[in-house]
Amino acid sequence: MIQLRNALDVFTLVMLIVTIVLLIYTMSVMLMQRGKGKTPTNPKVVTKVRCVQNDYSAERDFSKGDYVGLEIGKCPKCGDTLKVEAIYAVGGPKEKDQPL
Amino acid sequence: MDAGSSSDTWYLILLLMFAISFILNFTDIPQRIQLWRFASYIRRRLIQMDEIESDVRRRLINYLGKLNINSPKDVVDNFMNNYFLIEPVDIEPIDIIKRLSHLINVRDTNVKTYAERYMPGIQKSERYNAIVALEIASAINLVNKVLKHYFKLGLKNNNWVLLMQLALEMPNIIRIVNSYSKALDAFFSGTPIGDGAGPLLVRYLVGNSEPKRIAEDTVYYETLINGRRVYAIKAEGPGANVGKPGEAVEKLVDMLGGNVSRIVTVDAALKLEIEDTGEVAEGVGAAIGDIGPEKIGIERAATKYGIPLDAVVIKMSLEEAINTMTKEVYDGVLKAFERVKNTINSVGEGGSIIVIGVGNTVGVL
Ligand SMILES: [Zn+2]
Repeated sequence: MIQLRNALDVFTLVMLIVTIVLLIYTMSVMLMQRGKGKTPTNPKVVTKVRCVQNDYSAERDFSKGDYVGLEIGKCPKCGDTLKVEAIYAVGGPKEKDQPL
Repeated sequence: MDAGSSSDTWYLILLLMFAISFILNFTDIPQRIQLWRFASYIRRRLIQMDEIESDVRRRLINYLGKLNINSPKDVVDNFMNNYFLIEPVDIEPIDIIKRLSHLINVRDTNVKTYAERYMPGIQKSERYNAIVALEIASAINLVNKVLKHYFKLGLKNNNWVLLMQLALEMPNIIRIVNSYSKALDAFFSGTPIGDGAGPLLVRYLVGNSEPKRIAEDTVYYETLINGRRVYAIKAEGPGANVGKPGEAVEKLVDMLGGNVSRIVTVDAALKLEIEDTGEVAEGVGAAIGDIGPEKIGIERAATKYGIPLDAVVIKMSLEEAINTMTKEVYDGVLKAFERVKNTINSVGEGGSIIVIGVGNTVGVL
């Protein structure tokens, strides 16, 4: 009955390997999920200003109170009105593209 | 070890396998185990929901406090759970739009009165932003409550199908709720959001012309572009507000005696997963995402005088629509702007055209 005993040992060995593989798999899934949540890349909000004569434009950080169409001062080139032309966020978290 | 004890072991293993297979096939125990697993998964997700909700509450109270509002906590608490809207009877469709729009107006007025009462002496645009922030917090509160309701119901009735559905939907719901929570920052600081693509396009179209009020919180501009008379409608900014574009178009078209060559609606549209943000598409119809009254107003105005009704949409995801406008969406607005200019030029010289910038005008004058 040596053969049967060997067979039993092989069975135990297989079970042991399967258990370890499953454990590693579970751990790795859990670790990967934990890692996913940690990507706090805050987008930067910029305000684009432009002279109504269209001879000057600049970008700066958004400050509270800005809105599109707000008159924000005088143009450094021609002295006409400077207006906020656009406000948008750049460099936000990119959505991962799932391959089809 | 002798032969006897070894075959005993095999006998035991066989018996065990038989028992396991019996349990798996002919009892509810596997479902019970699944139920237990799904329940613990949902429980963890609900804790996450609670965290989001209390974070939203804290930020909102903090924001209202900065506006020098007395007892901001009460302002938030009294708003939650109230101001629901019961949809009108729909098995009798006669005048359903009238009844619905009446109810919406009453609710709007109630919310605005509430805001005026508890936030006196605050700029209108700031107050409108605060109202949207309150609505967001209230919506998140409601979603959390509904989720907990179904969870409890599932546990109570041992309904593992319900719990399984809930568990599978949970990540998507959390994702949406999270983007609403992030959207608060846009309304706190008053930056334009993705949904403001339409109003922003109108702002670029009308240049320096003066706004004239035509419906509640809604204005129109009149301007000449390449010899075509352009009437552009948008909500009144820069506070968070969608206005009443349907009512405005009906009034404007009647005012012009139907003498309009085209009506163009411009709006943000939810993109399909495989589409890119900022894609622009043209079609026919009223591009507007309201529950009925405004959309039907535009359609009726166009149909009454047989005016062609065009739609230009700028594609974006839900997250992008309710959060600070991204560069991609902004580029989409510029693309759509060129398309609208082409449409204006396609109208004969001397003709007139109405352009409606549909969407929330927060951060756009
Ligand atoms: Zn200049």
